[in-house]
Amino acid sequence: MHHDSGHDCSHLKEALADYLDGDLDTELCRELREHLKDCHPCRVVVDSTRQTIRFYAEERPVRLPPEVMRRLQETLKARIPPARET
Amino acid sequence: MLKTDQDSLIQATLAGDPQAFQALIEPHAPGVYGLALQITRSPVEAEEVLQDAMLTAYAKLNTFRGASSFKTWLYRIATNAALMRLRKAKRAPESLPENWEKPADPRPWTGDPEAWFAREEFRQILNEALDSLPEIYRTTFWLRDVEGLGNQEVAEIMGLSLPAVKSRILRARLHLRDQLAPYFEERLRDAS
Repeated sequence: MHHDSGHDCSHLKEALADYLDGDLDTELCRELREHLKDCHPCRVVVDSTRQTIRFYAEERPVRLPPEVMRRLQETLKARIPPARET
Repeated sequence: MLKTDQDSLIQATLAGDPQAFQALIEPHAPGVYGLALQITRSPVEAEEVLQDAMLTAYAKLNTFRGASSFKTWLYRIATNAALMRLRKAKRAPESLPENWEKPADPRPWTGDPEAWFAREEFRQILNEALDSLPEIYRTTFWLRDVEGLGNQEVAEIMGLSLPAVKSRILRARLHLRDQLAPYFEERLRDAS
């Protein structure tokens, strides 16, 4: 990361993982929060990364095809012994 | 599924009731399939991994001690089954460049994100971006941000340290952001 004014903020990248996960207690995260107030490009990256995370969490881009589920059920039925008679 | 229900199903399975096992694993089948697909990138192999993982879980259920959640335990089995297939196919592990460079002039993603969720192409865009991620990042990201597992659970499933998990997830998130950015920034330019 590089500040608009030329200030090198690359060390703050270390805090980004915790910051995105909402673990804001570390000193680095506090520094990052302060930095974001002044650095527009960094703020855009953080905001759009948050949107990226949300897109994937909400869209869940893979669905289990019904025929795959059906074949799994058939396989389990064929490979697992039936219930014991009591 | 409530933990008590899950425990009852485990006990019933161990007592010899196969229907209990079906009920136990069915809620996890979509997640296991999605995970296997992230690792193998092949629907055919993902289905085989799904079946292998469920049969292995049945065979080993008596070794499940509840130290981790059933889901974490099952996902570990599925991850191992999928990785074994990759090794057999001798696909070389890929990686991302060591340093991520912040884009020179990032633009905000505006517009109406809700409208995107309704579009058919939206899922395809997300999948294409995922495809561009090397497997080790894709799987970690999937478990954390799509499956919603905690960092510690992801570490257990992947057999990684917590710092390694955090590092991979961050790099995956930033890479995906970079892949999606032109699309959403382009829309911004279209709209303006």
